[in-house]
Formats: sequence, structure tokens, C-alpha cells
Amino acid sequence: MEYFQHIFGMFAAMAKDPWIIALIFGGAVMGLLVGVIPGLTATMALALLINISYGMPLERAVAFLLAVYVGATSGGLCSAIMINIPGTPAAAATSLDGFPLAKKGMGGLALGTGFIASFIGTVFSILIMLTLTPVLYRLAMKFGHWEMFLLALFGIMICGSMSTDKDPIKGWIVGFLGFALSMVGMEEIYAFPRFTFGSLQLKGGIPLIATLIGVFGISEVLGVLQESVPYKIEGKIGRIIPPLGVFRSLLPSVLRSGVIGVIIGIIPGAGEDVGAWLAYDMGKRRSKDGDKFGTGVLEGVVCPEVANNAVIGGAMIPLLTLAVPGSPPAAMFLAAMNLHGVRPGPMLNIENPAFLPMVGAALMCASLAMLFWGLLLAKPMVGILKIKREILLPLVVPLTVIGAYGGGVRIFDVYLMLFAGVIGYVLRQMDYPLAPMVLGLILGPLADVSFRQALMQSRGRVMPLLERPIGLILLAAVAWLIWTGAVRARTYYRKMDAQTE
Amino acid sequence: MKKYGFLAAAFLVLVLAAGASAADKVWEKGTPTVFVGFGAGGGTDTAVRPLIALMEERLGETINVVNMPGAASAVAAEHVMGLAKDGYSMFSTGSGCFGGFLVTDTSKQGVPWNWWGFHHIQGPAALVVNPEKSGINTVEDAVKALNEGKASVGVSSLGAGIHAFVEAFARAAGVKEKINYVTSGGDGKTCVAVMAGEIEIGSISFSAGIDYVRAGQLKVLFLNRNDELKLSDTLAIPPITSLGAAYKDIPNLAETWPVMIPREAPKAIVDKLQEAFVWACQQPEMKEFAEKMGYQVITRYGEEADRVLDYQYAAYAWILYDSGLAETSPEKFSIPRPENWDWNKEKAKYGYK
Amino acid sequence: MSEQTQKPTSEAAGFRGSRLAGADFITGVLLILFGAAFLAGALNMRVYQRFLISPGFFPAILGVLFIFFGIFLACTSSRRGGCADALRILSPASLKKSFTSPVFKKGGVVFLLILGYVALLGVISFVYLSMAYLLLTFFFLKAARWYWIIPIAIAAPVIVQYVFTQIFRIPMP
Repeated sequence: MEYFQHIFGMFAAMAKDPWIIALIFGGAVMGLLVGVIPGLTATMALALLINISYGMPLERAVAFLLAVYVGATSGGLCSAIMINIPGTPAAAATSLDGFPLAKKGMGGLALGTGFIASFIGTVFSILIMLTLTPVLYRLAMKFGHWEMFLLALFGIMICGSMSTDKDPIKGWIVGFLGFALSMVGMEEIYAFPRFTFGSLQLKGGIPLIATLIGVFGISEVLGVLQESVPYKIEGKIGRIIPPLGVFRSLLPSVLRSGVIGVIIGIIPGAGEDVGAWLAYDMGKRRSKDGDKFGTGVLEGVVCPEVANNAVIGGAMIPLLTLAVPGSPPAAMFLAAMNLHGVRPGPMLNIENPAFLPMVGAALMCASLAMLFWGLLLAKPMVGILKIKREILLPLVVPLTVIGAYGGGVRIFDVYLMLFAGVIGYVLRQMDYPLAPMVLGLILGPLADVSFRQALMQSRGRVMPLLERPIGLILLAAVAWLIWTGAVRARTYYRKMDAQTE
Repeated sequence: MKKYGFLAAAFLVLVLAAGASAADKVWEKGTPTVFVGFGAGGGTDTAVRPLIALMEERLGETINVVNMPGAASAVAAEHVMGLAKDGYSMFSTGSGCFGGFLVTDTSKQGVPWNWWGFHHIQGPAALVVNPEKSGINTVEDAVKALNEGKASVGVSSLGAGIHAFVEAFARAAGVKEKINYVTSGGDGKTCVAVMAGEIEIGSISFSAGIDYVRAGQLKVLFLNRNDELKLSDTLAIPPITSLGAAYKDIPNLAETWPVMIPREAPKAIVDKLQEAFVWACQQPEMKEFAEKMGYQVITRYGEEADRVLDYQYAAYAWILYDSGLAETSPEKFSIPRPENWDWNKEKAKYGYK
Repeated sequence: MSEQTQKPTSEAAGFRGSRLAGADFITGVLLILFGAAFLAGALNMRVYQRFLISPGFFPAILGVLFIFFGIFLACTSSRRGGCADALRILSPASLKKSFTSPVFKKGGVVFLLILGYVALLGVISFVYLSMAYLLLTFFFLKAARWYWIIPIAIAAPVIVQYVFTQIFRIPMP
């Protein structure tokens, strides 16, 4: 009971300090803008803003940084829906259905639904965090190297179902190409340079953000502008807020995606992006409208958006109890807390029992602020849809350059972005899905390193690894993915052969 | 007439003030940047940001912090060395990384004598266990388990200071068996793996595990420092030197996380930076931060900083080579073995007489 | 057939996969080559203690997978006439046709403009370079009337520069 008093106490304290409210609203809109711009992510925003927060009292700093975090995680959906260029890796899955919706003239509805889904996802994960943290943090401890490897493998195998025309082979090929790209650079265990051809720049590896912007952004610019008449979106803005019935009928999807997001958040190493992809894939498989995914259905926006925001609360669980961040932006939050003299970890509850409720209350206010700005800005943002692509897309190019440069402060990253853009363009021309490339790039290093670490732990023997219960479940899931993919590939190619003959 | 005189005086004051404030600025042309060689939120990032924040406060100017991870911070080192050495670009990493630059062929420019270093804190290494899961309760248990090949040692990454520490300990303790290492990617993760019973022994930078030790979830076998550390009235952690004569020679490889500025940077900037650094280290915030994290404030700069770093540089280079992580022998770069290291011979390359 | 060089053999109208038989075949062959090179690179990497924990293990697996997928693509597409299609796509006449198609030309100029923009980063300051890039691109695309183009091309980089350096404190190229 005392615990809930803490939470209410936090809300009361926040209401009393107008600075906190101002910082939450300011932080949320700043985060949203960061998220909208391709290449600027929540991690980067937090890294840049931490020093600003240093001079603030703890409560204000926490409120401000979490508002930026929530805002940036949600903001990516705007550019994903409006220009088919996800603002952050976490929003890449959202573009699969969000952009077709916009093309159908339902961009406003997609934005509104996306923001509400993000809100629900955040709130859902906060509730779980506030009530179940003492139970759930053990889950993070159950995930050893072997389980991480299988999770990463599972993530890469879902690439197969991301293909647009039901050919899982193409999805897998692109996914493994992303995996292959991630092999470039010095690997994490022995610092051995792989495929670097003596270049110091390549030793630093292929940066995820620059590749993401290139594959999605530059290829979109090239692909659309080469047409003699680029597509136009006929505009009436229409409604922004979806009818209540939409979310009622999507309740199973919302709950499923929320649970996926929280679990992925708890597991250290996998972040917002992985949560969104898994939720999208599961939505596609489990929903009765699953075969319509990718053509522009609201459910395809709701699943990833609920999940990527639900990762936030999930990631806080191991962060606050074990000082192990569940996602990259959470790692930044950890650094900020250390700077303020708060040490998340096993002593937190003893030394600073008010901290967890404070995080919960701040996140709650931050998600409200995010929803407020999102719905407020949705209407003017839909206006962007109506701008001629010949004006809009060239304007995107300098932003992509800044995004690619800002992540690593290397001109080399900008060159890489352009190169990735050409690859993305070629793949797009041949009907390959682009999303698996990014997923492969994210999960590749995790799979590679975790597998080898697991074998280091078992001294090279495979048998001990097969005796781990969670590992067995994951192994079965991976096998199931490969099996269903193979079956789908078989029917697809049979059908195609039949058509040719 | 009076009115004009007043205006003229006011104008003069304004001009002088403007001139003075521009002259007062350390970086007149823009904002300086510190390139941190590891990712945002990592150990190095966390250690160095408070120092930069306090230095900002002292100098009254913004210092940008940019994370540029890659190749154990060699990418950042080369990047900063490739920029103009005008004092606007600085570099930060863990002191253990310099030893790898030459022998792993990642950075030729990043060697210690090309920088002035400001080391604010140091963090001792610790060997931790979870007696409940592993049955290892004492140093003797650990040595026995290692000799029987029944214990793996978790380290955040191979070649880091904590890896070197285990090798030095094993040699002193007479461990014959080759040690099975498991990397975890971070000291915090090593702690969790030891707690969960995935790994028997963890070698960590003590700051990452201090809270688990306080909470009784991990036990520290010993710390790499010269005196006992009292965490509370009931909990005191022995230093490695208390284990016996064999352990006396284990070198002080306690890692530091310095801010480095190219030696060719303008002297005026370096001097002001140094002044702000010393001030920052004296602030109560720094003491408090260090205490919470299990660090010691050391305020090390100038020749003393060069001397300690050069020794670590040599020691790490050899440990990397001896454990097979580096293919090129340090001998090729005339890096002496730590036991033959002599500052009087080495200091010439730093420009000291 | 001449119009089909970009989108070869669309006999099964409405079925997107089969029209790409030639492209699939070419991809298949390229994948086999890429996989082989990847595998060779992987097998030449240093082995630490055991191959399974060495840096080359996963690249080797990936190399094998690429070869496998390459063979698979080449086989399935050749059942749909992919091999003949591929030869047709790669024939000089057809290549010439596709390189001189209006779509390719327009895309090429858009790409070259971006390439020039990226290449000159760091040589010319970001604001002026962006202005020049936007002006050229807008005029090339005939995006709008000149009295719209010029203010947009000048204002956008200035605003972007201001917002990013002053509000987000992001380092600029």
C-alpha cells in the first residue's frame, strides 16, 4: 500500500512543480521531432541531451529524459507513414502498413491510430513495470548467451514472412545479406577484423543508422523521383482519431503486442526495433486479417507501435533491478542516472525506494504529453502528405545526410548511406523486401557473438546447451519458423511453375 | 556634453567587456568536442561524463560529448588525430585500450605520447563469485576450481584490464590449467551471469558490482588495490596484496578514463583545461560520484599521468600478445616487458629529459 | 519484347514473381559468386582454439547459405525460362535500351545530384552546399515555379542548420 502512496505522491509532487510539467511537454515534443527526422534516434537524442539535464534536480532530469525517450520512440511513426522512410529503426515495421494507408488517403487515421497505439503500449508496460518488476526481473537472468542466440536467430528467421509477395526465400536472402553486412568490422570477442580490407573506417563496422537511412530513405528518393510522374496523395485530411470500435476489435492484437514488447524489453540486448518486428510478425500470423497485412490495415500499424513503446517499460525492469539496460536508449538513461548519483541495481529499492514509482509516474505523464502532441500535430503533419514529392523528397536528402553523419560523426558513414541506398534501390526494383536487411544488421552481431559466447561457456560442447529449458522452447520456435517458411516457399514456387506452364 | 561623455563611456565599457569575454573564452571559434571511444551509456561514457560536466561548469563553456565506438576506441583515436590539432577536438577512452593500438594494428597515431592526459578517477578490478551457485567461497577454492578446469571466468571483453588482471593473478597463484574465458560484453552483464550461476568467477571493474556486493548477492574474493576497502562496519574487502608474498608483484593496472588532448594543441587551451580539471576533481560532486561508484579520485596529469599510462601501455600490450589476442609482438615496437620497464628510458619519447 | 527490358516476360499478368525470372536467374548466379567469396574469406580467418568460436564461423555459414539460395534461385527461375531471359536482359541491345530509357536517365540525374552533394560535403559548408543541391534538384525536376523554388532552397538549409546546431546540439558535417 505504501508503494502506491509513493506513486500518488509522485504525481502530486509533479503537479506542484510547474517546471516538471513544462519539461515533460517540452521533452516530449523534442523527442517527437527527433523521431520524425530519419536517422535521429532516441539513443542519440538522450546522448546529446544528458549534459543539459546535469544541471537539473533529479526529478526534473528524470522527467525530461523519459519524455524525450517516449517521444522519440513514438515519433518515428510519422515519417514511416508519411514518406515511407522510417524515422527510427523501431518504426521500420510501421511503414509496411502505415504508408499504404497514407496512399489510400487514410494517412491522418494511420497517424492518430499510431499515436494512440504508442500511448497504450507505454501505459501497458508501465503498469506491468510498477506491479510485476520483482517477479519479472528474474526473466532477464534466465536469458544466457545461448538463449540470446536463439532469440536473434528467431528474429532473423521471421524475415521470411516479411516478403511482400509471399516468397519467404527473398525475405531470407535479404535478411542474411543484412547479417553478412554486420560481419564487417572488428568482431566483439577477439577484436579480429573481418572483411575490412585494411580500412580503418571499415574496422569500425557498418553503422546501423546510416544503413537504415540509405536503404529506406535514399532508395525511396531515387525510386519515386525517377518516375516521370511521381505518385500524389489526394488529400482530404479525414478523421485522425479512430472510432472506438477499432481498438475494441483489435484488443487481442494490442494485448499480444504489449506482452511481446514488455518481454523483449526485459531481455537485455534486444530493443524497440526487435519488439516491433516480432509483434508485426505475430500479428500477421495470428490475426484473421493476417493476409491483408502489408496492404494497408490499421492492425499493421497498431501491432508494431504498441510493441515498440511497450519495450520502454519492459526495458526499465532489468535496468532498475540489475543495472542492466534492456535496450540502447535505456543504457543512455542508466548513464544519466549515474551522473545524478542514482545507482540503479539491487540497492536501489533499499537506498532510494521512491525511484521506481517516480520513473513510473514520469513515464505516465510523458506518454500523456506524447499523445497530446501527437494528436495535436497529426493534422498539420498530414498536410505534409499533400506537398508534391518533387519538393518534399529532395528536402529529405540533407536531413538523411545529417542523420547519417550525426550517429558516428564520420563522413564515411554518409558514403555508406549512399551505397546502402543504391543496394536498397536495386533490391526494390527486383521486388525484394527491404525491412529484413535492417533486421539482419541489428540481430546479426547478437546471433554471432551470443552463439560463440555460449560455446565458450560450455567449453565447446553442444550437449549442455540443449538441456536448457528456455533454449529448447526457442529452438522449437525457430524450427517451426523454418518449417512454415519452407512450406510457404513450396506452394509459392509450385504455383508459379504452374502459371508458367 | 555630459550625456555624450556618458554614452562614450558606456560604449567603451561595452567594447571592453565584449573583448574581455571573447578573450576569456577558452575556445573562441566554436564548441569543442570530446570523442568518447565507446558507446553511449557504457562504462567509459559513464565515467567521463561527470568530469566533462564539471569542467564545463568551471570554464563556463559548452563541451560536446560525442560517442564514437569501434575497434576498442581506435576509430575515435585515429579520428581525433586526423583532425586539426587546434585544441577543439579531444578524445576519451579507458587507459587499458592504449596497449592494443599498435599490436593489434588498429591505431598508429593514438599512442600515449601523442596526448596530454587528464585522469580523474581510477577503478580497481575485483574477482567476484556467487558461493551459493558455484561453491567457490575463498581464493583457495577459486584456484582449485581453475586448476581442475571446473570454473570459467567471465570478463567483459578479452584484452581489457580485467582480463589482464586474471592472467596476472593466475600466474601468481600458480594456476597451470589454461583458463576458459567467457566474454559478456559488459561488467554489469558479467555480474548478472555470475549471480545466475552461468559463470563461476567474474572479473569486473569493481564499480560495476559494488551494489551486488552490498546487497549480498555477490562475494568479492579480493580487490586490486593496496589497502582494505571497508564497505560497511561488517563488510571489508581484502586487497590482493594481503594474499601473500607471491601477489606483491601484481602491477597496478587499475583502469582510468582520461580526457586526452593532442600534445600539439595550443598551450593556452591545455593550461586552462588543466586548471578546470584540477578544480573539477576537488568538487564534492566528484567525490560523491566516485564513492558511490567505488572509484578513487586521483587527479593525475602531467608527467605523473604519462608515467603511469606508459607502464599500463606496456603491460597491456604484452598481455594481449601473451594471451594470443595480438599477432604482432610488442617487441617490434620496442615496448619493454613490464618487468623491464623503466620510466627513465621511456620518457624521452614524451619529450622529457 | 523491347518494352520489357525493365520488367521482363510478363506472360503471367498480375503474378509479380514470374516476370522477374531473368532477374532472379542473374541474382542467383551473383549470390553463388558472392557466397563463394564470402566463404573463402571466412575460411581464411584466424582460428582461435576451436573453429566454432572463431570469427570465421558465422561468415562461413552465411557463405554456404548464399550459395544454397543462389543455386535455388537459379534453378527455380530457369524452370520459368530464367536463363534465356537473363541472356536477353544482358544482350547489348537490351542493355542499351534500358540505359537510355527515360526512367533510367531521370533516376540517374537524381542520383548524380545526390552523389555530387555527398562528395562535396566537407569541402563546401553545409548550408551553401545544401542550397546549391536543392536549387539544382528542384529546377531539374521542375518541382515548382522559380519564385517558390528559390526561397525554399535558401530557407530550408538555414533553418535546418539553426535547429540542429542550436536546439539538438548535433554535430554537422
